Amino acid sequence: MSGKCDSFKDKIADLIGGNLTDNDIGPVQKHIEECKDCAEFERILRTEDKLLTRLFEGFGRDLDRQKDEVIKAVGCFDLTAKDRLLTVVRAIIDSPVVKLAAVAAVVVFVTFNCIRVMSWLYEVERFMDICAVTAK
Amino acid sequence: MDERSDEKLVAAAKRRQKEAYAVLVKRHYKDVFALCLGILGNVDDAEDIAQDTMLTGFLKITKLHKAERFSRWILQIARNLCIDLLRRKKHVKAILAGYTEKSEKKKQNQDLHYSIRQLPLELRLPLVMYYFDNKSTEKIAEKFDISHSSVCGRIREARIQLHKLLTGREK
Repeated sequence: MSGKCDSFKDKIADLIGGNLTDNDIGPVQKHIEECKDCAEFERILRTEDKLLTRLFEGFGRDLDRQKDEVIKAVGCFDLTAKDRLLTVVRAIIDSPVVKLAAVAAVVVFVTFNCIRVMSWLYEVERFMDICAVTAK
Repeated sequence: MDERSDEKLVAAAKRRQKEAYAVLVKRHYKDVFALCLGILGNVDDAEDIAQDTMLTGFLKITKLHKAERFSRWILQIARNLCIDLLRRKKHVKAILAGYTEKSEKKKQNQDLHYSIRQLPLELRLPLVMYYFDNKSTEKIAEKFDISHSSVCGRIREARIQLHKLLTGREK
């Protein structure tokens, strides 16, 4: 395999994986047609690709059984008293009514405090006025 | 198939609705298994850890604050459990090495599966995900938060290294 072929190696690997741009496919295929070594390299990579696909298909076949086992195990979990309490609390917190009530409470609290601050400022202003009049 | 979003399913699972979590298991188990297989390189270990991951996820789901990030969260649990297992295995290996003579080392398998295990983790993981995830490099990039070109580069490198491992042994 020549130095030129070395630079095509990566592109052949990308070609097998379908990750080669349309512009690159033509020159790579042309080189494969002309070069025996690269044609052999491509053939072997394709065989390996098929073997890998088959290998991983085999692993994937068993997934449904594994999922069912997990779901079954999850189903067997019993809730502790603490969990039950947390579940109830979480359900209450997640409820839209509770969320609305919380927002309303915040609005009321902020409004109430704004009014208090404003009246306090008014009192301060009045006090300052009285002080100014007394000073005169 | 349940079409509720992960977010809604996580919220329901937090209320201990097991059937909601079952949908999450069905939806994400494949990714978790692929990740475990990629890290551990061993089907039996990958199955154990993937199942442990999903069970741990159920127990800890109340700690997941951003429900929309369930996918990344569960993959992170899987990654941590895999690393724990690898550490334990390394520890056991070190202990066994003290009792086993070098000449008694087992002969290594020369099959494709063994060759995949010889690949470095950063190449093995995308390769396994690639063949397991319907060959979608875009999905892998999204899951690991890396660029698409980086995934393609790693898969290319993995393919070439795997080829070297396989053909090197044939000679």
